[in-house]
Order: sequence, then structure tokens, then C-alpha cells
Amino acid sequence: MQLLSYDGAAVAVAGATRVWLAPAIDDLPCGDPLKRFVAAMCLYALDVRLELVPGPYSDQRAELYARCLLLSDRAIAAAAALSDAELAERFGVALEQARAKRGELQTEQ
Amino acid sequence: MSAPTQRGDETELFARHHEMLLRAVARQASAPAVVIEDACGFAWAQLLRYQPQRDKIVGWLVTVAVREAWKLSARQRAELSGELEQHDRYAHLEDAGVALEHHLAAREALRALAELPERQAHLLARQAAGFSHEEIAAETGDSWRTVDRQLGRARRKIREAGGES
Repeated sequence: MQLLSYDGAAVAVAGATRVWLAPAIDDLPCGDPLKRFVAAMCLYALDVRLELVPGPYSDQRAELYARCLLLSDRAIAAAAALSDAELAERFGVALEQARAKRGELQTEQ
Repeated sequence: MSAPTQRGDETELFARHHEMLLRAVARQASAPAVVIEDACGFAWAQLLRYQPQRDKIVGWLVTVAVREAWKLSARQRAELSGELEQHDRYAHLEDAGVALEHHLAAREALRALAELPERQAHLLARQAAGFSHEEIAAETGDSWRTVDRQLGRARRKIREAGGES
């Protein structure tokens, strides 16, 4: 069982077999970048619970995992001409996550 | 009615009490570990939603979690005796293998989210996060059948992208 936090706020709870989104996230409209991102973080918590990925859970690892799911390296490379804001919009993620992903790719190179 | 605003102490409360809550609920509710864990998760989710008074927070969490554990246990027993439909949300509790299979499928689906239309990607993400067709339909305003059809299309696209039959 895990409480997931993002940007200083509790955003979801992951149990053994299901997750619950915090009301502030649950009330967001369909397709909202933050909602999608938190859902992907939840998946990481479940993966750790099922021992499909190494633990222990941390919000930082969950964010990294979510970025890998929602922003594939190949797709980012193909969108090199886009600004961070355009990239965020195209992939339906928050601007800070698009920036973080590009930062990670630059670090790897 | 909108949920109360978070107070900012939720993460600290969780760190301080979640182990205790698991132990307390396990003592009071005779149920499998997975049920205890889900019941405690439900209690923490209720805390986020309703923001109860903090001076009695431990008792509140235990009460909510124990009740949920009883409810889940009763539901599980009913499922095992064939009284509930197979597609019920908790059906996978009776067989960890099925849960794993379901989870893996959802996980693979999320990997291809970026390639899908936004609407289908959203539906898959909700399903991967544990929501039932009924819950997704309630949120999107679609019918159960529409949700099921959209999810089916999304999965087909992912299978095709992955070169699976």
C-alpha cells in the first residue's frame, strides 16, 4: 500500500489490487495531463507491489516511470523540432514533465 | 459538492500511521492480506476525500478500514460461492494469477498510450488504474457499451502496433 505524492500534494493511494485518485485529481477533466500522469504513477506503484519492477516505491521513481510510459524516447527524438510547450501539448503531459524528459535524454547523451 | 481541500499533512500522517493501520486491521478483520491492504488503501483514500478531524484520526482510519475489510471479505465469499457476476470489480481477488494477467495487459497498454488517440488513451489509463467500465462510463458520460468498444479498439491498435496476432 502506498500514498502517492506529486508536487507536494497527495494525489492517489495504491492498494494491493486497485488505486484511488485523490479528489483533486479525480475531478480533473478527461485527458487532463496531470490526471494521465498520476494514473501512470499509480501503475508504477502496482508494478512495485507485484514485484515486476525493483522497489521500494518512491515518488521520484514513479515520475520517471510515468515519463517513460507517456513520453517514449523514440517519439521525443522524432519531435526534436518542437518547443517544450508544444511537446507537452502533443503528448498530453505537463510542461515540467516534458522539460524533465528532455533533460534526462540530454544527460544520457 | 467538492471535496475539502487537503491540509498538507497527509503524507506525514501516512508515514506515521500506515504500518500501524495494517496491523490493527489485520487483528480485527480475519481476511487475506490482499484484502487488508485494499481496505487500508480505501481508508486512506477516504481520508483524502473527507479530511476528518485529526485528533481522532487513528480511530477513524481503523474503523473505516475494518468495515471495508469486512465488506470486501463478504464480497469475496459471495464471489467464491458464485453469487456475483464474474466481471465484478473484485472478481480478480480470488485468483492472483488472473490479477497479474489483467495487470500486465493494462501495463502493456499504457506503454503504447502515446500512440493512441487521446480519448482511447484516457480510457485505457483509467482501466489500468483499476476503474471498472461502469466507473469510466460514469466519468465520461458514455454508455458501458461505448466504453467497452473504445477499449477494444485501443487494445486492437496496440496489438497491431506490437505485431501480435
